Amino acid sequence: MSDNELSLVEMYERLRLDKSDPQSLDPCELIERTLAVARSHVGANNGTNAFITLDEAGARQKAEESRKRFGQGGSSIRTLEGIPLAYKDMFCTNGVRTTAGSRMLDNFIPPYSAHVVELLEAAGTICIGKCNQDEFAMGSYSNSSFSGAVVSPLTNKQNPSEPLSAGGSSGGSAAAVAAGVVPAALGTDTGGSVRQPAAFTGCVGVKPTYGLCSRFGIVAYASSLDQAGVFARSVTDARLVLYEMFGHDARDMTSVARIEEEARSLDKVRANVKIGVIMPGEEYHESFPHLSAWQQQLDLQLEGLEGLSSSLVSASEGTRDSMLLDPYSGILEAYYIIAMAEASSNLARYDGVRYGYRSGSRSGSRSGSHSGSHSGSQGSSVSLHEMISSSRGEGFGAEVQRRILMGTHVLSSGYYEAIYRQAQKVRRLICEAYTLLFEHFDILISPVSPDNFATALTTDGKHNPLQYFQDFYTVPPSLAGLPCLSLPLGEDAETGLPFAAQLIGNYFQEDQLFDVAHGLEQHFQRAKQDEPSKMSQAR
Amino acid sequence: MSSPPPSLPTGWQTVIGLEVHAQISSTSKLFSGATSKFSIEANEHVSFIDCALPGVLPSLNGSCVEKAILSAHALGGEVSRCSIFERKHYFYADLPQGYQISQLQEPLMRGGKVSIALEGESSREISIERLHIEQDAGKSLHDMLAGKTCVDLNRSGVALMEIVSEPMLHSGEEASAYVSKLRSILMAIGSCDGNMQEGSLRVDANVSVRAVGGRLGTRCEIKNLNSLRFLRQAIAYEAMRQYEIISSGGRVSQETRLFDSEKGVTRGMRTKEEAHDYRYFPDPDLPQVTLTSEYIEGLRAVLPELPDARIARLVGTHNLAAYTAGLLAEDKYLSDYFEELSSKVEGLSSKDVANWLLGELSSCQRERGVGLAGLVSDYGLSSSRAASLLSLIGLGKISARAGKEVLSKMLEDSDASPSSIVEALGLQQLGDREELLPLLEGLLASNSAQVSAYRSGKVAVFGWFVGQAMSLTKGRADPKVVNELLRELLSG
Repeated sequence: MSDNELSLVEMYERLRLDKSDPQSLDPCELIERTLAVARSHVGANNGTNAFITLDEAGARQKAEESRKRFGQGGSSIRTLEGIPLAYKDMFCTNGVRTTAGSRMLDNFIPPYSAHVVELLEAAGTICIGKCNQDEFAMGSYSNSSFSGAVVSPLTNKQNPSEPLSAGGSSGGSAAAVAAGVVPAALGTDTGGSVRQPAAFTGCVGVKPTYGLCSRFGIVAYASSLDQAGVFARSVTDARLVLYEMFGHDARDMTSVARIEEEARSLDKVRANVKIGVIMPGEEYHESFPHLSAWQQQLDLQLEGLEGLSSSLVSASEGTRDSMLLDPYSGILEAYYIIAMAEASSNLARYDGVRYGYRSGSRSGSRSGSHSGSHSGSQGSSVSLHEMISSSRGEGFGAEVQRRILMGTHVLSSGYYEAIYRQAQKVRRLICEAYTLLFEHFDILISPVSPDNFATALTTDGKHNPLQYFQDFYTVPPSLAGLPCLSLPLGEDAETGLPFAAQLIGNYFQEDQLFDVAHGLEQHFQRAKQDEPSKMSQAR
Repeated sequence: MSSPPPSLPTGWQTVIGLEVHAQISSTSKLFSGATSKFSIEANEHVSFIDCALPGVLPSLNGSCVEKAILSAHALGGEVSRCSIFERKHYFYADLPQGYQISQLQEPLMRGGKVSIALEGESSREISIERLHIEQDAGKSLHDMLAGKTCVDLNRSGVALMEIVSEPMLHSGEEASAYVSKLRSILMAIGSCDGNMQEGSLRVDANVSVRAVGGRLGTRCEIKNLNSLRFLRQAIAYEAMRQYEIISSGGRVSQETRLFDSEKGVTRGMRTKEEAHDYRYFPDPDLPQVTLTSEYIEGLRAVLPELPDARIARLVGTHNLAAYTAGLLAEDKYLSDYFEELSSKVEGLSSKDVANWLLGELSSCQRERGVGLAGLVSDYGLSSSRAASLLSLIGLGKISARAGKEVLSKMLEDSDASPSSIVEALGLQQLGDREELLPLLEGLLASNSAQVSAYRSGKVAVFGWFVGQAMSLTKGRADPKVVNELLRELLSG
């Protein structure tokens, strides 16, 4: 991470300084500098390959607008005026190519923007480009993109030449923030796709309560789980961006309005927040040595937390019997059944008929075509279904096809009851398990990933079933639709790679989640300043 | 007239269940803001949602649900408090999402019935299994460009009600009566415009044959019948086809068939083995629809008069036959017009008025290619103007034959009153005994052979005299007076 890059809060303040002040920032200059850095992160073998597309013209135009507004002053300056951001390529951006990391949408230019993109634009932010990701957000290492794998900007001190994975599926957004290109970026989180790459790259990554961000205009993976999320280098920066993205949207029937009173109902206990720590099951420690290291690190970091005026309670007593800790409770299986079922359905629209990749077509694909009739087959020799099959066979990568096939299977006649319906039952039980836990605790803490820090990047395209296990800790709150945040927990002394904790809040308690995360963040920073030697004992 | 379709031999029975797809009358589509209007121009009414661009989401149009609930009430079914939208998957060029949003497990309505009456028969109740809401697909046009298929998405996403009957119908005529009754109910409450030509109402017929009292036979589904005539023809053809297979020792295989209206035959489209596994599952983009009983009952309260109630009234207060009342009640405009008209007409029974409307006036409409509303608006045939014409007939001022002539003049000149036309053309009826007597005496005098024939017992000759009298007066003579006078003269 480039430490000298400005935080969003610093940008915010310096954009507002008088021009005569040497510290003052001009939005156009800021965008030019940002674009210059971003250019070294576009394309395979170029930096992190965090970006698929840069919108230089659009960004410059918006920066001009911001400069004008800063000149006018007063109420013309919008909340996040002039702040550069980047969006995962799942967010549709009007007039700017949106690929979802897939050959299928390689030339797709949407004629509309996602609701959250509209909100952020209305707040004055400037999108500089679209971030790389796993194809259709399916993956944990951002190595399945049609635009090549994302490489983490972090390195292992013990093996600096080995490229590391930025995590997935929102790895490009995480890398762009971690590399200091932008102060914050958007990702999507279905089962951990914001939290896990945040953990791998040492960023803060947050996803809100399901429904708070409209899904309109976000390429769908698994509708009942997908939520927009934010990467930033601090809790405060993440909060500033995420809160601009809330708001009811009539175009998404699962969208909910955030009720301020409800969000503040826990104010009374804010002074004495009860944090439950979900301890990793010991049965995992052998296969995942990272977990015992994580536990030590957490214990170390939470020392002296009394100063936070929170009461920390180990949830191990209260959660011992919870299914949330039982690796055999079927949570992960339920998640993948539901996610793949929905994915198989959501991706059915990519058939090569109206837009996107079409097999045999000379241009490969059509873009942004949304009206007018055009031919539905490539001539009499190819039937419609042959055209659809080969377009999907060539347009989708291996992991996407695997998930579509599995999803199709679990919804098939005879398997729906046996598999899909059972998964829905598990999902209901998970919600009940959280309800019980939140009777005792305000915030839950768990690892983000059972795996060992950021892992080495593999690009051989081989199927690694273990990747599904990456999601063990991030999936349960996703199934329940709870807000969660991935928070850096200090660095490992030997590798220099970050530890991370997942904070889980109750429904609509984003205020509390951010407050606690901010408190912990400050506590960790104080601890780091006070006792740098202590950190080396972590492993 | 084409020859009547062949029918099954005695002892055999056709069993038919119908799935009617009725387009819900609404300004916009079921899940998008695009207009649901019919359009000749392809792809005129297509939103980003209707063509399933990435990331767009459906949002339910409440007015479509409201119309469907009204329909459910009108059919006497039970409205579900909770209904779920599900996705039904298959790949086709005119199905942009790769799935159709429909309802399988929890339809909006279960139960319900429609009563039908065939000519000369008493009415019979047909049970309805369910009514659910779903979106329509687009249209594939295979003959627009050679070797290519074109896709028109105007219809994609338009709201439909699928209304499924129990297999209780036994002939094409019954099926046709069921559909027209259903159509009149939906039109009466305004939930469907009933326009079969534009595809607002399409029918899939499940047809099987069996020996009366025997087990149900294997059924075939005939898809997309868009006229009542095609429905009758397709069922008649299909029943015979299946009977011939069975009677020659074969087995009917379950399949989906299409009706070729030019050749009048059904053709196999796909067999049971080729049937899709639709992989229904609840649409995660659409929360369950929960309705309060206050809301459901509130809609019952605003239901307009339904065709059955109107038929009962027409039969009760106007003394019409059930079949005639049914014909009038099929069209709310027609039955409203009838009731206005018969309240204004003097000297004619309601039955005469109904016959005039369904007979003479309806051929006037056919000749001019307009509907009743067109006669009223473009030809000035208000119910009052028509009533003054019918009253002239009813009160014996003109003959029924002259009435036809007056009507045709009335339609030519929408300002002319019937009585002024009668006067101008000299069509007043000759009802004056004094005036008619010399004429009839002359008639008898010049036909003495017929007079003696009558007097020797050949009473049938009486009719011949009446005909002669009418023809001498160019139809103006009042037949009642002619009859009276002739009887007096001949018996004398």
